[in-house]
Amino acid sequence: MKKSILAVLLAWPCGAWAQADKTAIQNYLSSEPELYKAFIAWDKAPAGTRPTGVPTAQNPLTLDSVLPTQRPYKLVAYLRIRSNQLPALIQQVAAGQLNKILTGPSGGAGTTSLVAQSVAGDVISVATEYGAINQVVSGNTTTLRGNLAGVAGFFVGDPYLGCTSLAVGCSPGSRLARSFSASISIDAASSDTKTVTGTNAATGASAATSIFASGSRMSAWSARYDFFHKTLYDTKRYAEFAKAVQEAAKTQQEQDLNVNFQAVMGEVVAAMGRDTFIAALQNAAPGTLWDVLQAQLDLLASALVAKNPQIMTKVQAAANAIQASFLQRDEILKELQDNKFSLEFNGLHPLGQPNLSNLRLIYSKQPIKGPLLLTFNGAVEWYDTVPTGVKVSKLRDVQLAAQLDRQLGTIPQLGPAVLTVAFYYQWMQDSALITIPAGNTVPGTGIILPGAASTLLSTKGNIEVGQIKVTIPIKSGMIKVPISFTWSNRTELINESDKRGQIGLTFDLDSIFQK
Amino acid sequence: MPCTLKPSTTGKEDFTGKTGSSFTIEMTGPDDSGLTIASMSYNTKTITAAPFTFDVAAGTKFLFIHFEALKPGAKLQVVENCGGSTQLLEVIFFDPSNPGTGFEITGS
Repeated sequence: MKKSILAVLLAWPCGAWAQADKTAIQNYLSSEPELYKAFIAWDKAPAGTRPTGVPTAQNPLTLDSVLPTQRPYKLVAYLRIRSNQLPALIQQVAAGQLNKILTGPSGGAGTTSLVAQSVAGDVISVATEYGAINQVVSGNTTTLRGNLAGVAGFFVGDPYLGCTSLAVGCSPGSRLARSFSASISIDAASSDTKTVTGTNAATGASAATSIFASGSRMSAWSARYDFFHKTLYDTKRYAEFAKAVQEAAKTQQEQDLNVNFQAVMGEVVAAMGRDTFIAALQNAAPGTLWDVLQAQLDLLASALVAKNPQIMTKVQAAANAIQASFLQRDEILKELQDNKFSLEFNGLHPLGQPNLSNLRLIYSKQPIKGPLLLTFNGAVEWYDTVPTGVKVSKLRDVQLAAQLDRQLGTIPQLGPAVLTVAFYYQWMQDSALITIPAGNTVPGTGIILPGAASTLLSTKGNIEVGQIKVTIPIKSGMIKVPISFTWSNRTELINESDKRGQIGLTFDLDSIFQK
Repeated sequence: MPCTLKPSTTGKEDFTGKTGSSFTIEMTGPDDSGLTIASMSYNTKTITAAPFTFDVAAGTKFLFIHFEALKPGAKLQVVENCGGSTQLLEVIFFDPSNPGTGFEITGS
């Protein structure tokens, strides 16, 4: 016992560990109530009487339960927290940062533009790695999505503001931030145009305009709030959970988790004297077990640094892999919630139309245990500004939609197909308003419009759209082939019935963005 | 069939085993725990579906187990499948912030 204490005192001058912030050690133990209770009891027990070794019916938990090898996630978190507190780790983190700065520019060709691109690329890359920003490309539209906690955490250097997993539990503030997300959509240049005709809202003259045009532009932005349950562990859909976890286990994230844990724990095994660690805990005087455990973990940190000065690079890689794994689990648990509710605000900047805004409520429910999902949407949409001289209501339309998704049987060699039946209804308060930009000619004449003109289309009333779709997965769902038939009585801007059959191809880009 | 992993007598590792002999790890828990093993890795080999069978490697290596469950606090057990019987290796009360465990195994 004296030997252990002496080693601790030598390792940490002035006994700093005893006065140190207890956040790290609390975090190491306190999240599991049974272990926490047992540890408190062991702390009170006389030295030499605490249970060790493999568990028994009488002692399901032993001192072995607090070994870093049996709390690998907690050890990584502990080392990261202590990296700001322990001199050996602080020095190493600083050295790591210096290396990054020195080696960054040397990889480039040396031109200013290349360096600038590299920095921007790194920021986006790191942001993606942290889950702060996701990029989705659909057709000609690129959408960047960000979570408030992810983006803010990226900039303050605290992933997700400490809310690394909704399943684990978060502070009220970070949980609130995890609920907020935003997106911005950019339309890429397109040569495809569609001409619509109507009447000038002010003069009554006929007019026409193209509703698609070339040039990249912001087409929409949105802010969304997802209502999460207090706990994500309120589902009893065991089979679906198991299936989703096993599917997730096939991903690159799971490989990364194993590789990075092995990289860190391999060094832990080499640096830690397991028997010494247990002996120190066993021999701790009553009331000192917390301090002795922290001292042993700090000794391990010190030994890790002594053996490998770059250990924190591996710890950080493991922390990133844990983060990715936790996000994956959060997604699974969120998907399994029987009732989901979201509120979304969208700012739309459609080409050739006045800017619009809408507020949308989204509710989904799994009514039975089987793979059946019902989703309902309700939205109101309004013009941000009604052009002068135009007599239309600021309220543009009301939208209602319902969708049923039903997983069909598994197709051999492919996977489970999904049947989707959806209906969409939109009530237009007035005829749709479009804008003919200045410089366009009034159709049938050579008159060039001196300024933007607003035009009403004869589209007041009801729009109904029905769709039936079967989605077939390929390559474990990485590629999906949706086959659909859509019918509508008319569209927003063109008062004609439309029937359309479509075969598509979608790619799940997650596997590309996963690191 | 005898169990491959033997509790360490020196305390320098968790378990010892004869190098080259195989062992299979399983986990058990209550029906309503939703326990699912995601992956295990040992000595450069990663397995993501049962059976989780490895060969004891020379030296001391780390066995990592990633599991998930739907009931925080559920009492779970890590066992070695020894043919008609099992050997209890560890008891875990599921902690979502530490959904994994590991052992030092020395082959000799």
